[in-house]
Amino acid sequence: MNATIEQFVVIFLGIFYEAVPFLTIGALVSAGIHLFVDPVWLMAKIPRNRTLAALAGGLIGLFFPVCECGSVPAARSFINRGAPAPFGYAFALAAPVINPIVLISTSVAFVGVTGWGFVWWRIGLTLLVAVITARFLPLQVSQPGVADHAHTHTDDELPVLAWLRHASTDWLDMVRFLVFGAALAAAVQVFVPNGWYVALTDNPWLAVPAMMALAVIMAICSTVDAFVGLALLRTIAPNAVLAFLVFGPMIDLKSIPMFIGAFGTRVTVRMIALTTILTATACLIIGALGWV
Amino acid sequence: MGIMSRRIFLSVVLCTLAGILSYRTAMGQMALYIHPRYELLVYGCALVVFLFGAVSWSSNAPLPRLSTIFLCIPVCIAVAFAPKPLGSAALVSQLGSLNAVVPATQPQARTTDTQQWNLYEWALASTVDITPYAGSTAVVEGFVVQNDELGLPDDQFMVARYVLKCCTADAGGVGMRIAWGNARQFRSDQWVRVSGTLAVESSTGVPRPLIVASSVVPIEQPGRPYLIP
Repeated sequence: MNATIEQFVVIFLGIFYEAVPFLTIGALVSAGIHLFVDPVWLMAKIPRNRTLAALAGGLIGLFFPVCECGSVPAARSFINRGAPAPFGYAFALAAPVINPIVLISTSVAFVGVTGWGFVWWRIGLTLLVAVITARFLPLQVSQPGVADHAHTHTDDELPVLAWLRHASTDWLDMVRFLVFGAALAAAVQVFVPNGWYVALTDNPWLAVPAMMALAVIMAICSTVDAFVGLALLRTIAPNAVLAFLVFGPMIDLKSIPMFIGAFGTRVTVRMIALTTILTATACLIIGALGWV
Repeated sequence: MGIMSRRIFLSVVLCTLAGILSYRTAMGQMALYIHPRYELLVYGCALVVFLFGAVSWSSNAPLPRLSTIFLCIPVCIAVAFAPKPLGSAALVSQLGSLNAVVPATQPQARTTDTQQWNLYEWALASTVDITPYAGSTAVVEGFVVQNDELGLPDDQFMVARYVLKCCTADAGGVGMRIAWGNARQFRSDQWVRVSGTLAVESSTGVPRPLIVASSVVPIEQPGRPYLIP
């Protein structure tokens, strides 16, 4: 069999097998929000001010340890239950980093090498980019892929059965985007030579966008990307590695189709544009000022 | 296809996926794709996906468009392709970044006895200064890489392994050159155990390690072919 096809299959299945449990957790959390969170309570608890709502969404991930595969369905569920859209957007963007598991993995990877500075930069910049982006995205969400949950259970149904039905509908809705994204990420990895970014990273101005592009292509789960970033730190400027660790968990080839499915194309395009500009600008400034 | 037939088909696909996830994990084949730390999570996922399959046939919610077809893709690929790890072909495409997977810090090798070092630990030593290890005994296992792009002389080949941090998408290669008189006797992807002595060449000004082999023995591919730092 053609070695390239074999390589594609191994990488595609690797991404799928690794991501599908997290998507499943996300679908279960999403269904839990849908069934057990009272929209009136939610509306009362979340600030209506767009910036504060986005800030709350950016921080709520501390209580929901989900990576990018799980954060998208959960974010959509928050919005469906009446949370302001900026809350959902910021959660989707920030939760893959602002959650206990990733905070621990980033600390374990970097504190012994760079001190706490790099960890705080990752957390702070992720929150900043997520909040600003969410603040300026459209308030109306078009959700082309959303199944109608209104029919999925009856009042006399056991809660656990209703939960499973909701979760399965959410899961089915998102898994097609995961399959498409995983195939795309695997194809790019197989067909684009792997060493291209090494040449680009020699240039201090190109290093940041090159590492952001690498993060999009590699589509690594945020729970472990800190260790990949640590390895890159040997050859690549710290501000470019920071860009890799901030941008990758927000935007990658497997999450983009999921964003389109959850929020629609218009929101997704603006989301990608804003996060790209903000992350690149911030990391270039941080590098120029020698802050990392 | 009627709505009921579509639901039954979806249930079958979901249960098949659950079966694949559990079977691959139970047989140790999941280690060819993902880090072992996720295996328990995959078992849990298989159980939930099976339950999804069980409830979906009787659900009255509309099926998301094309979801069953998309779901069939990984299921069909997983069934059609025999489980296999990344091999030499994938490594050739990342020769420019070989050993880049080694972190900037220097985690301690498991032991100071170089005979027990694997390729990752040799790569760790190479990032600082490999010269003091010249003359040390080396015993490493890995797959053979034979490729013109390596630019190796006829009496050398490369032995390599992948280091996995999450899944095969982030796998990075570590490798060492092996000096062995009959270097071309091994085909690419053949797993071998190499015993020999470390030599350090510095013709280009940069110290480059090389194992001068006293024996090269073909071995079976290990159950867990990737190195886990």
